[in-house]
Amino acid sequence: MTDTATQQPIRVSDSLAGPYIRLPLASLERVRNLLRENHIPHWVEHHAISVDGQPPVIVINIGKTVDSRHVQELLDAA
Amino acid sequence: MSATDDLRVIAERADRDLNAVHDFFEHSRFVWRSFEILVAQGHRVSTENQATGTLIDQDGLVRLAPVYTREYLASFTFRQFVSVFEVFLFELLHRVLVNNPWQFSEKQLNFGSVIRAATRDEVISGVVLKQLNELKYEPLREWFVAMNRALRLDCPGEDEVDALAEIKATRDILEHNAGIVNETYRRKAGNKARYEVGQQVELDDGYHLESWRLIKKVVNDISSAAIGRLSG
Repeated sequence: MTDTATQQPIRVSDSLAGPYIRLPLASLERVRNLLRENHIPHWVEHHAISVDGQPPVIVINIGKTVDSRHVQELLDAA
Repeated sequence: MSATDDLRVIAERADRDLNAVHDFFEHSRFVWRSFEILVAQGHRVSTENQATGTLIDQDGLVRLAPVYTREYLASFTFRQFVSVFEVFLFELLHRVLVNNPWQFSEKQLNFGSVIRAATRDEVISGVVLKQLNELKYEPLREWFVAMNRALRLDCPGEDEVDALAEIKATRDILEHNAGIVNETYRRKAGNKARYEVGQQVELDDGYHLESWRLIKKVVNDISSAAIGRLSG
């Protein structure tokens, strides 16, 4: 799955607190639908943030026990 | 001030504090997310923690941001929600019981505490405080039993008490067991237990927000009912 504005692939990031996806707000629903369809536990943060007038960005936190590689495979295949 | 005025002050303070903590949570996260965007745009920072000697730059901070926001920030603010609720409930109980201390009329009193007190009210307050300090170590459900012994309120409902017991159990696990669930959590949380023994507590936004909402609702319901009861 790519960001329609930049044509860059949407990537999952890893952290000690669990995986997360930072993505343009415009791509949120597509990614959420994918996560829901594949029963990936996740939650969306409340703030979509725009800095200096750039398109707003939002963060989806993925459940801590989820394998980020699996989520990245789903995104890449979508 | 009258008892009802005091209860209003206690309730308003709790409501304000709950809002302030939630704002702190969201605003702090907003700042972290904004910082991440600025770093992606090419901004650079560096700093050294003078206490620990830790040197860090913008990339290091961005790497730490998920732990800071998902774990430290969520955990700290969640625990603050519960603390605000505890302070509210015990301040309310103290005020109500000082107003009507007769349920403690059979309690033994140390004569020294009577001599040290300047007034009758101070003696009563001392007895009530001692009882409340003991109550704090009882299961959360007992807090509401004590409250209803003092003031027969129709709230909170059984389901809300169960949900609050689970919230407190989660807070206790974060506070005393590094977030690793044990049998004590399972016992305290009862039928609302969300984890098995050995699992790690994870505070997602939904649970964090719903806990805050429930505590706000219970603060409002109890204070409204108590004020109504004392006014009636």
